[in-house]
Amino acid sequence: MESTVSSSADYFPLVIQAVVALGFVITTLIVTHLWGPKIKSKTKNENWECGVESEGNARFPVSVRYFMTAILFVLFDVEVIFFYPYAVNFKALQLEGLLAVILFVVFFLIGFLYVFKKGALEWEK
Amino acid sequence: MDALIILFASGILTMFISLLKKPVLSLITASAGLFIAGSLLVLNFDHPLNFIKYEGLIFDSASVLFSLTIVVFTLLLTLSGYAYFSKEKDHTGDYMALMLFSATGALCMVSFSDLFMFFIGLEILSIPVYVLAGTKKKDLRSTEASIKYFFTGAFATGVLLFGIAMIYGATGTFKIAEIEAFINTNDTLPSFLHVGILLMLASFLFKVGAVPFHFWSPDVYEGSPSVMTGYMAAVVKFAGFIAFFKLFSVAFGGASDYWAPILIVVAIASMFLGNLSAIQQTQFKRLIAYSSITHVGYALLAILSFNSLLNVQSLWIYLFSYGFSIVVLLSVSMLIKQEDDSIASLKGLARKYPFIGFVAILALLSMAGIPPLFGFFGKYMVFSRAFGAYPMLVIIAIINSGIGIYYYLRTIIVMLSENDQESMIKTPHVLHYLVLSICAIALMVGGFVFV
Repeated sequence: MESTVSSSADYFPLVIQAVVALGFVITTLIVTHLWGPKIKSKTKNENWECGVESEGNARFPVSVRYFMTAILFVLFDVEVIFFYPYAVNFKALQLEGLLAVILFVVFFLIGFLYVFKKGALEWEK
Repeated sequence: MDALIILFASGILTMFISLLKKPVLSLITASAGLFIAGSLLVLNFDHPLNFIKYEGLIFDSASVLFSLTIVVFTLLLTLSGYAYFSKEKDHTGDYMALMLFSATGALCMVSFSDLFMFFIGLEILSIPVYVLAGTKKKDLRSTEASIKYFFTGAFATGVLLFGIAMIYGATGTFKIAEIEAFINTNDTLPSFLHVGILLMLASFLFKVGAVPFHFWSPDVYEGSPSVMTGYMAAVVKFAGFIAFFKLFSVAFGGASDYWAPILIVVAIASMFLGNLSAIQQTQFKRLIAYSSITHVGYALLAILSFNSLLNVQSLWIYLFSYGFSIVVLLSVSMLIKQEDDSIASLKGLARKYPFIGFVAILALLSMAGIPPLFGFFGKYMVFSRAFGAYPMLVIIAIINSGIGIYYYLRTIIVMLSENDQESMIKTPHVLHYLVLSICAIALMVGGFVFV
């Protein structure tokens, strides 16, 4: 059991890390306020001070089509990522691994078929 | 395990059948899948070893019983929710498929044997429910419910995951049995285990909606479509409680000195806050939400007095009887025409539709714990098992039961009274009658069959 039980002392580096992480943020926040020059003007207070001048309200309806495509892309992109560890261990996993991966791909294909049939990929509707 | 696969497969099938835009076909597929899964569970009830075994899942006879309960409630809610689901022909099957997927997750949650599988089950259970809470797309409250449930639920999941990580750090294992052995054999437990237990406790109390973490539940219950409110109160709460029991009685049972005092406070607070808020409600679903907070308080008694295996039976009976009442009341709530489901719009229900009124009154009385009904037996078993260890707590619970009777009876009076205005009740679907008859039988004879 000795190897699995960890004493509180083992976590001391974690505490140091937490203190450093928190300390950095707090110090930066305070120090910038103290040392930084304070210049205020209308242009300075713009949301995107160095960019294009903002115009109108940001809260207007955006078409969800692009969002749908983006979400589906992420989904199928993640599927491909899962292939990399499999490809590395292709030989070691033998037939069982192949079957497991085929099952996984079949589930994804079912999802793809559903998305396709549902018309989520039709740009003009 | 084969019930799990059947549920999942019928979910996928329902999803594709929904493309045909024929709601009836989706209903048939979904309910057939649930029915087959249920029958398989019944068949395997006596010899559960025939199930396919997986490392993270154990289908012992208790898990089979819990799975069967989940399947029954999902089936009842699918049937009674059909009238609502079929309003949108394009999505009927999608909604049902999501319910089936969610039930699959619930099955994982009652039969897990390591924390990993438990977490996956919880996610499979929760994510479809977040989506389904927002199915009334044009209703702002439904969207609010969905977003609110999603954000708070995702946050609670994060806390839970953090807790699991802490426990893994302290014990070096995910397996329930090994965690139990670790706690029972070590005299001084590492402080990280305590932190982990605390975090998991908070997350569980959130999922079941106990007091300091209950703020989401009235809003979410009110905004969601009635079917989903029923699903949350019957199935999600059931799965959450069984997992709660399994983890805290089996895995963390040895550390109960640490978490039991917290649960006592939570139970008392849940009972009082739920009851006293429920008295003031004018909306039917909010009333159910607050009364369900109270019921969480009662059910926590079963987790507190975990020392015998009989407790899981009393917890099961309690949640089983409660689930039937919930199915009835939410099926009745589906019949209210108005968008804001005030209790006043139930006026004249029992006079216009005597059968539905009768079953609704049965359900309310069963929730209040009136003797010959199923709910009484659940309450009696939970209270009597807890009495030995926590007599004061049981007395408080009984006082609260008394307070509860007040608002249940008030709702019954509204249902029985004469309606002089235009009725707010829709014509019930034939499936409503079917579901309500099943629930009526269960509520009347359940106590004598299952106890």
